[in-house]
Amino acid sequence: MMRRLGTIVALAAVALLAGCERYATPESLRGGGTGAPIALTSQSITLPDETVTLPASADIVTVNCTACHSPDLILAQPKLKPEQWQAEVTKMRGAYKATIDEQDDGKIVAALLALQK
Amino acid sequence: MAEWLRQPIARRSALTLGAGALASSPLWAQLLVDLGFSQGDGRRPLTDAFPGKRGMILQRARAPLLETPMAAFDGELGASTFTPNDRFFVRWHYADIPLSVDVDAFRLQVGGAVNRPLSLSLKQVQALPQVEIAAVNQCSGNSRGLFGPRVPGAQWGNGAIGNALWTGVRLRDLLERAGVAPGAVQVQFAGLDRPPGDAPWFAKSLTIDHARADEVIVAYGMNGTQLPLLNGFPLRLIVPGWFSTYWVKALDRITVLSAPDTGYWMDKAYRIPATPRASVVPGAKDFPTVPIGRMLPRAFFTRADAGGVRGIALGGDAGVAKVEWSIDGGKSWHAAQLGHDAGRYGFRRWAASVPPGAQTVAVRTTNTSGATQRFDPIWNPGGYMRNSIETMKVTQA
Repeated sequence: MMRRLGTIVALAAVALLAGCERYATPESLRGGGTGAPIALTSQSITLPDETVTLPASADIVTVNCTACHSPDLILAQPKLKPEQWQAEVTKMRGAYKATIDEQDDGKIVAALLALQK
Repeated sequence: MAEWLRQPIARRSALTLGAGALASSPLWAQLLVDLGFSQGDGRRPLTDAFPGKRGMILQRARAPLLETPMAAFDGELGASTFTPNDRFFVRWHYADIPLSVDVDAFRLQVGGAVNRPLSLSLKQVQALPQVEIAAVNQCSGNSRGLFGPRVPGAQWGNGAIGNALWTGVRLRDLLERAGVAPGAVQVQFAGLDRPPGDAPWFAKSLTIDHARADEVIVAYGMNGTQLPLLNGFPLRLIVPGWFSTYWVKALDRITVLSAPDTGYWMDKAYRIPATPRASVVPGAKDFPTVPIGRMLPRAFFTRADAGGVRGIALGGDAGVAKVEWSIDGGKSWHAAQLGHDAGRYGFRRWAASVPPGAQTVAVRTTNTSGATQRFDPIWNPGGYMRNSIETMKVTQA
């Protein structure tokens, strides 16, 4: 499956990029103005909805952490020690000014560890 | 979206969500890939759901982290080395990213220690001499998920990397128009993304000499067309040979500094041990650090089967001099074939035929400065700078 996808992608890439390959020389940096003009048009996009949520038992993580990043990244972390999770919480509060009450640290770290069980 | 996707789910079911989503949601996570991490935790959904992107490995929905599958880099030796824009990896720090840019309203500010502060429209930027360069863009933390012991952060496989033909104007030309004041030491770059609350604005700096270098450009073109919004439309700083943290996306503010940048993103984040290979003993703390900078040579497999092995290579901050393969654990090395050279900072394709039988193939790049790759992995707490030799098990007929 992956290989077939790769072949299709490679073919598409060749078709797409055949037109600009000729400019891809170190010399073009020296020459200036060698390539075709690039037309710029306004862009607007909508990002997809998030699909992953945390279980109710991890509400304290949802409340304190997911305002800035979606749960998928939290769930994808390797198994971390309590002190590593605490360092993450401390970094978010110190470096990124997250409004995490220090009194909740223990509960947050415990919930993060429970998510990794 | 199907209501059941909103249900709270445990870790295990989160990982299988992608497969289940296929039936009910053709736009979202259609397949799973396995990035092969040490704790069996490398499974990730593939997604077509992000505008202008397809077949991307979903690392994080918000702020988006999308990885390129290695299959997207695969091709014959003579194929283009450029990564298609719709497969190019995506990495944003903060969730508040530009989702709409009006090309008539956009302005690039050039200020700070300059004689004539500038506020340039895109037309004015494009009126400067146009230059092009092929260059690899690689996340500082590419391959972080392969570190041992593991470290927190985005768990990238090897696909937080891509090669494009960048079209734009020299940063030097912009700085000359503004007139750099005497005593300038650095130039700082910031874009349209915004931090939450009181978090530090994302900004990165280069020395004034580096900023004036021939190859550093402000790009409005990526592989012959405008950049996708998710890759930094309308303007992106291109710093060939250096890690992506300096390639500021949606660049709208260039500030010439008369004192070194002491902001969080230079002073605290993206720093590596000031040791050989940026490596320390796992768990080490309180070692001297320096900002991450130049990239290192690497070689990757994109295919390994009965037809042989092949892949892509980069020289890092210099060209690819050679790619070699070994099937005896590095006792003897043999030259791989190299594809065409699109410039010292771009990918080179490589290919090799290895002897029949079951083999573990190792592959390494040596760059034109003489730097090469080693088997023994490095370690640092940020999960940066990995470039140890890749191996692949293959059975040749």
